[in-house]
Amino acid sequence: MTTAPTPSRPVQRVVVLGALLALVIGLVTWVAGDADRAEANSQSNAYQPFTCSQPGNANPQQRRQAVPLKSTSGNGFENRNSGTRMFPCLSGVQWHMTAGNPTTSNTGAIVADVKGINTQNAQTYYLAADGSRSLYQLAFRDLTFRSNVAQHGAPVLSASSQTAPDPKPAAGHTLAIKPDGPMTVGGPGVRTELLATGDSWFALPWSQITAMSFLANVVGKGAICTAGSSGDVCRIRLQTLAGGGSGLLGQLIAAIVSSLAQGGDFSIIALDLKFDYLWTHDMDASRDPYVHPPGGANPLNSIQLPNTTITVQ
Amino acid sequence: MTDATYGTRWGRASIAVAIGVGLLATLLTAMRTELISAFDSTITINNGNATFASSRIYAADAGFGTAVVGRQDGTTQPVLRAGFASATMNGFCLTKTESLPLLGEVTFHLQSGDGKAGTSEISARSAAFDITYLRAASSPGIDLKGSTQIGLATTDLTTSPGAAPFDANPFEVPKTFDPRWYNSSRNGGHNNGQGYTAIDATTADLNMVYGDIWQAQIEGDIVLPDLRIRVVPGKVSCRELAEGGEFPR
Repeated sequence: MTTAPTPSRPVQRVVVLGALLALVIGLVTWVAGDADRAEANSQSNAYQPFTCSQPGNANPQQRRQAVPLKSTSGNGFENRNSGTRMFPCLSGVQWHMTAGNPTTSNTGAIVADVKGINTQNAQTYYLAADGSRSLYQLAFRDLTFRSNVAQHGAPVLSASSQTAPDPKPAAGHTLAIKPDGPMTVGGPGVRTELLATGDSWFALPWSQITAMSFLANVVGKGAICTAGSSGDVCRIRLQTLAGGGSGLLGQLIAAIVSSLAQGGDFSIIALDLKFDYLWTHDMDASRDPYVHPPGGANPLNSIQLPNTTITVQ
Repeated sequence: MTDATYGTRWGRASIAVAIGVGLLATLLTAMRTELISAFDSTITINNGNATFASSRIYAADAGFGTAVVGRQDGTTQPVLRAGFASATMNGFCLTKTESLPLLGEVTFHLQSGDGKAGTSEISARSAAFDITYLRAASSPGIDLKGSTQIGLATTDLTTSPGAAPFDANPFEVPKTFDPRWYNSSRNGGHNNGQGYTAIDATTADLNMVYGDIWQAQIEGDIVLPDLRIRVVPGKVSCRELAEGGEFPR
């Protein structure tokens, strides 16, 4: 048996320095990898490079908002301060989405189906330069319009610059997106969320609400369905779905609609949503939407608008 | 047999030359263009009266935001600025009609593509189109994919090519108060794009699209195979060709 000769001192130095270098590279790589994973919890100038600023404030992104995602499972939402969030600089323009016949009393005039609804009570959101709005959060798995929607009122999305508080564009204009018929929001693997006003509403058959709770008939349609309801078509506001009522009656109503507002599905006769922000993301809320869009390299369908006309006037 | 077989009719030739020079002038005033080159191609169309059509535009890092462009008379025209980091297209048609003294209407007509239904042979990078009307006449029509946002300010869009970090405010809506853009100044003059709303998508797939285009700019590489450029008397409109089912097929 022979013994390997001891390396010379210069060789030993090279080996030791090489090992140290490898250790440092390994540590740097590990730290970088960890930083990528942490992106889900923090605003990043790499992904939100525009400075949504307020002069005099030390934070150059003072007016950029943090909007929590619906959690992957359960009925809760991510933490607004530390969870997975979106960081928009909100335009202040209120988008308006309508579909279906808003005045019908025909409970058979179903035009759309929404699945997996969750809601969150109102929070204050600040706009890009001035003003704020109190907005409810609405999340769902998918919203699919039926082929008959054009007979009752095809979906219309419009955004008027006049809905923004000052400062607003000097040349007022309206962006309109009009599919001829059915469109789809969301779909497999995608969650859609909105920040919408409390008076945004869905019209649905009263039978869908009574099916949820024996208390519904006790409380009565008049307490749950708002003005504009017709016959057995119940117009329910987002703030009602989100349990925004007060007192004993408010609590009762919240309990009645909780099945709808906590992961429920329902069919829609008409809708009228005013929202400041809509976004889609992977169903897995731990995946930062800015870094990991649903579907990754082959992005999944988020909003499908067949046979659609877009105008700016 | 006519005289022209054996000689030149100078009267007609001079008219043709005049028309040719006029059309050349039209080209020069209508477009500042280096249509095909390996890098930094720029196509700019100003002042409207232009239409476009394509069988398919598949755009990565797509953004759509409201903005305004200046008219020659000093007023502003609201537009939807559609921009993307990179895109492929299946067939592309662009027309711009100008009204010239003596000559009347003439149209600059650009058409590119291999004519095949299943190929997206055109590619472009860092492009922006200012449109006032767009029609996607098919199903799926407009398909926004991946992470989509609606309602952020146009200033907050990112359409830079490749991975982060992205460029800030690629659509160049003024961040600070500018009376051509804003009705008032707030937030110490940092208006931040308020009132200009936008849509952001990981990718946008637009099928059988056509419309009215106010301004176009392609700053990155552009490949336009089988490019045909014609200057024709009268009005030709890609939008009308598309509505009539002639292009794209």
